[in-house]
Amino acid sequence: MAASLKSYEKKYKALEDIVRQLDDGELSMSELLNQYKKGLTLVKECADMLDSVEGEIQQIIEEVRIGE
Amino acid sequence: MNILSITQLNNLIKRTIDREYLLKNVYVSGTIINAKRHSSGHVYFTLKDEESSIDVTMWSSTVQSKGLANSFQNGLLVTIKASVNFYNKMGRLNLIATDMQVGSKSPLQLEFDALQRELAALGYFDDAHKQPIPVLSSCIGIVTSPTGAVIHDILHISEHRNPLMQFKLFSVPVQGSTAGPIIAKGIEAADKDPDVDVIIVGRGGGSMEDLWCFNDRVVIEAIYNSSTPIISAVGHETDYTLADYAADIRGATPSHAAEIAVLPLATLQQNLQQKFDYIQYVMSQTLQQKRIELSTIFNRRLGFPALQLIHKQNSLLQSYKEKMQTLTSQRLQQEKHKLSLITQELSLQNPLHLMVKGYSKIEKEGNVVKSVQYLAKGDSFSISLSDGSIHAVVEEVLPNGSITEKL
Repeated sequence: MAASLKSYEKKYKALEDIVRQLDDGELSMSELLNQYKKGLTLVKECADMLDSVEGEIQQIIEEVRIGE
Repeated sequence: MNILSITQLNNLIKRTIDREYLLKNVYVSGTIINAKRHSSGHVYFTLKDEESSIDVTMWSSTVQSKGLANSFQNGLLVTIKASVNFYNKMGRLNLIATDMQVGSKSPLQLEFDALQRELAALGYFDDAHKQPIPVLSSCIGIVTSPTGAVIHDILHISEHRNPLMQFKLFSVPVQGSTAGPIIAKGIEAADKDPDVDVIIVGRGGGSMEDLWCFNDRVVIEAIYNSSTPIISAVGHETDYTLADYAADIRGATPSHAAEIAVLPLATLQQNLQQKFDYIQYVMSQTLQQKRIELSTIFNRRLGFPALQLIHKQNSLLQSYKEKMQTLTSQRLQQEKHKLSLITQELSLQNPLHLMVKGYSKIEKEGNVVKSVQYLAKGDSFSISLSDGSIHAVVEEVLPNGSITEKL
């Protein structure tokens, strides 16, 4: 999990950069399309990672409950 | 042969007794034992001397009129005035007492009382000194006579309750002036025996004189000094000896002593099971409570914050996604707008537009004429308008803004 979290931070950072570039409004049209596509892919990948971490946490919580 | 019925015989006895004046209003001395006061107020007791005894009744009216309500103490030496009475229906004989003089207690009773006071003052009977009887013994030491009822009663009771119980007999005489020191030695031997968990010391019923060796000072001391718990079992339920006071617990009878010393195996098992169940219950309760505490701490301090962090991160991602969409579509709108501005400008630059407004284009030999210097008098040229063209000839060229055209 530590490795995937590390790559999550990387992806998240890349996403932040893209948003900043879009915010600056100085991208060419082809760059705009590329960065937008790349951004959406990063959002999806990050969200998937969060889902999997959340699933693991909920499973642990459930296991602790079952032990009661 | 004259055969009598019971009724005829009993009536005959009663008549004979009633007729005998020597049996009326006699004075008789003895020691009171087994005194019982009935709820009706009548008092029943036995009067006895060294050899014999007789049952006595004093009616409640006599007890009241003579003020004797508190005089009926066991061991008290008294002289009563009484008549012999025969109940023919039951075939029983007793004395009906009409008066009673309270004499002194018997010498033996006085000796008993004095010894009891002395030993009590020395602490021999103190409750604080008494030891608990073990719940489960493996071996009981019995200090008694090998031929008496005690050993039989004890073995009989314990056989049913716990067949695994072992016994050691410390054989002693239980009657007579020399018995006391031997009983004391028997108690000491039983106390020293490493196998013996609890001691029963006693004998069957008898007179106060018979039981006297259990009032012997050396016996009381041996009981007091024993580090093994001792149950006394001397005589019947109504008999009390100093050994009973000194013992850790008194068995009213030898059978009762056995019941105290030998708990039924089933009861022991039940007690054990109850304790085991209780321990399990407490353990599982404690564990359950700890689990709840732990999971509460886990969920509140660890699980939920972790989920919250993820939810926060998720909504950040969501907001980034929305921001990207907004920024991108804004940018596209901007570009579209720029494009439409340029388009508009382009359309404004179209010459046709100018011609509609009245402007026209002059061409000479296919070239656009932008200055008067390209034309001279007599040149032919064409004028293009929005809805057609005109061919014309120059009549005059006037530089500096003034042109005269000849159509």
